[in-house]
Formats: sequence, structure tokens, C-alpha cells
Amino acid sequence: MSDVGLNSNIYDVSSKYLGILNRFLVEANYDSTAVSPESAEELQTFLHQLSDPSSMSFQIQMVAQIIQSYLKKHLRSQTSEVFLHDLTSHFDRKMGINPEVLQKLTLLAEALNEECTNAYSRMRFNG
Amino acid sequence: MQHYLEAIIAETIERAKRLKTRFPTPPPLHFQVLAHGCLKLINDKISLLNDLYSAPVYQVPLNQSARLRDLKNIIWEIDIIENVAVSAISRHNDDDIKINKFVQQICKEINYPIPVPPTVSALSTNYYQIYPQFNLLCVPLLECDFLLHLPDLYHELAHPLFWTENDDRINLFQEHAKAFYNVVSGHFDRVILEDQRINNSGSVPNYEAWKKNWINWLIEFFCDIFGVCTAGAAYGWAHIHLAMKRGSNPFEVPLHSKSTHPNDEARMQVILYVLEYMQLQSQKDSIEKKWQEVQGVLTRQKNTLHSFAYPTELLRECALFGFKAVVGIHCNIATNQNGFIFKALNEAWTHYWNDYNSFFKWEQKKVEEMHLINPN
Repeated sequence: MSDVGLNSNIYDVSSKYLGILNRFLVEANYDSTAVSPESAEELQTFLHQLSDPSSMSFQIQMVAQIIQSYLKKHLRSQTSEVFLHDLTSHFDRKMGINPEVLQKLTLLAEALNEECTNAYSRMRFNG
Repeated sequence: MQHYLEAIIAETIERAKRLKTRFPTPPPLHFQVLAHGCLKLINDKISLLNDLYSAPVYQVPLNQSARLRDLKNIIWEIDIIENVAVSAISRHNDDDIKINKFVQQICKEINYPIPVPPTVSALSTNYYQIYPQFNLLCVPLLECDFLLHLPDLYHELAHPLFWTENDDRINLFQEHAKAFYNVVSGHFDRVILEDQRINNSGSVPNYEAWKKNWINWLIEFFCDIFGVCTAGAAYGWAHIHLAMKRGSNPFEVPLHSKSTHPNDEARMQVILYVLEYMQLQSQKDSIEKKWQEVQGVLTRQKNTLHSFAYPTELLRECALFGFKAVVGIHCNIATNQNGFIFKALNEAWTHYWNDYNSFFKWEQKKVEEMHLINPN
């Protein structure tokens, strides 16, 4: 059996959640005080799901694995759990948007973007 | 740079619009659902591209990287629509009709829980491939003239079960997958802690890589389980055949690296456990014996890491969770199955082992009979 079925699913799931992060990031970069409530809510829900993936759907378990492995490689002074916990509580406490938070969200977006790139190339070369 | 990005977006919109003109009107009968889905996908992409082109949020310099990231993803998605789905529709042939009828009959026999069976195209360049986003299954050109590998179709039919959303009919399947990954996760978290305590974390990178790989392996294992539950022993035989003809090292264990498919030995162990759970003991014994004979020819051996990456207790649990997942969604499983295709595929394997010289003639006759069936 080829890798296509699996990789197109990985691509789709990663790109779905990458979309949530990207939407929030472009709105916040444009005007951090005018992010739409829909984008903010979508992001907050996603961050909560990532903080407790074992109780969520299989899709979320997969996305959480992708993000945690990426963070393990790229974080120097923090565990991925603490990183995600801090980010989630920042939004829960409605502390506003600052460059540090945007940088953290960009790191999550990069994790999913890398997975999309890899899944797409595996799909192409196995197709 | 902003101007260049806008030029690429405009070019991509033109290409997407042109793609819509390549659909035959009307599309062939078995491809109409696929064509409808693709046209909608293309429209969605054009609408996203228009947004990328003109939405005020994309006009600021700070958002050009995100704009490029989004654009690339859309271009890739349109590429796949063009190269896979639209090519399948525009180059359809008579073999497609046969294989579509065939897969529809399989879906009927196994009580496939997704209401619309996948469209099938005989245009694959690399064995069997399912594209769940199009509900399109691609098989090689000659596939519907031969029987021995066809049980692998059942594996491909399981992939969409993981990703179909908001459908109560397949909730239990997804719940079992999720619950089993929690078991896997718990196992590796325990051994990682233990390794940190007694081995100075020497094996932690491997355990972490395996824990991550298991989420992909789980999907492939569950698709195998679906295959053996619904196609029966024929699926086990087809797995040996595939490993023998096209497989690499059946004991390969990835170290520190990403792997999408479990090795063939682990897959076979799971298949054997499922045959045991279905009480198909004699078929299980025969397949196991043949698998051991095959290993003698392959000149590869299990290394000591194999049991750490694929612990026996996890493989056994995987088989059990997967078996419950398939039963939970009310598919007709092999022990209750009497369908024409199910019987033909299992008979084919019996005949092949008994006398491969007379098999090929028998196979051609059976294939002709199978092409006469009308699933509706």
C-alpha cells in the first residue's frame, strides 16, 4: 500500500489547523486591537485542545504530536507543555496581543507548515 | 515583493479557472460525484485566492510571509486536483467502469459505513492510493484483471474512516483509535521515565521518535485490521504477497526518524492476532507458517530494538482495539460474510496455493464472472 492515503490525511489535518493560526496571525499583524472574535475564539479553542490532547479527537492527538515534536526540537529553555500552557493561559486571562505571543504563535504555525510541506512532498514522490 | 506575490496569485487564479474547462460534459457516470466535488474545491480555492489578492489584511508588509505560506498551500492543493482528480476524470476508460462496479459491490458486501463509495480510477502510477479529500481511489491499469492483490482495496477503504467528521456511524471507530493512542502514549511515557531513571536517558530519543511514529503506524494497523476483518484470510495472504514482491526490510526499525508505515513483521503479527480473535485459527496457522518460510528467504533478521519499537503487548492491544472498532461500526466481518467478491478472493488464494498452474485460467474465468455483477 502506498503512503498517499496517510499523507494526504496528514496534509489535510495539518493545513486545517495551520489555517486557524494563519488567520489569527494575519489579522493580528494588521491590527492587533481588531482581531475578529471568530478568529480569536477558534484559536483559543485550538490551544485548549492542544493542552489536553488525550481527551480530544484523534485528529487533535495527531496535530498535538506534530507540534510537540517540533517544539522539542526548537525550544531551548522550556518544555513544550509549559510553552503551550503559558500561551493558553495568556489568552484565557485576556492579556492582549504582544510581539512575544505572536512569535510563539508563529512557531506553532511553522510546525504545521513544515508538516504540510513534508506530507505534500511524500505524496508527490509516492504518487 | 508584494507586487510579485500578487502577480503569482493572479496567475494561479487563471490556471484554476482554466482547469474547470477540462471537465468533460457530462462527466462519465461513475465520475460525476468526483467531478462535482472537484468543481466545488476549485471554486473554494479561487475564492481563497481572491481574498489573498485583495483583502486589506494582506496589504501590509508584515503579512507577506503568511500570504506566501497560504499561497503555496493553495497552489499545492490545485496541483493535486489537476494531476490526480481532473486527470482521472478526463482520461477515464472502460477499465474504470469495471473497477468502480467492483468497489461498489465490496462496499455493499461489507456494509461500508460511509454512504458514498469512493470513485475508482485505473490510473495509478504506484500501487493502490486513496485520496480521501476527493474520495478517490487509484489503482494500476491492469488491477481489475487479477485477483490476488485485490484484498488490499479493503485497507484503502479504511483510510477515510479516520477523517470523516460529524458522522455518528463511524464515531466508535474513531473513539477506539483515540483510546488506543492513549494506551500507546502511556506506554512510551512510562518507558521514557524508566530510561531517564536507569539509563541516563540513553534511549529517550528513540522512544520519543517511536511514540510519534505510532500515531501514523496506528492508522496503518487499523486499516490492516479493517482489511482482515472484512476480507478475511485473503487479506493476510495478500499482505505476504505484497511484502514478498515489493516490500523492503520487514524488520526495519527507524531510529530517531520519522516513519509513516510500521514494518511488515509488526503488521503481520497484528493481522494474525485479528484472525485469532475472529476464531479463524486454521487460516491463521497457515498464514503464520508461510510468513515464517518467507522470512527464511528474505535473509533479514529482527534486531533487539524491534521489541522496543513494537512491544508484543501493544501489538496485541492494537489488534483488540482495532477489531472492536470495526465491529463497533457494524461492518460485516469475515466470519459472517458470504458475499460474491469475498468468496472469490478467498477462493483465489486457496486455488493459488493448491495449484498455481491451473490458477491463472481459473482466475480469468472468475474475473469475467465478477465483471458481470451489477451492484445496484
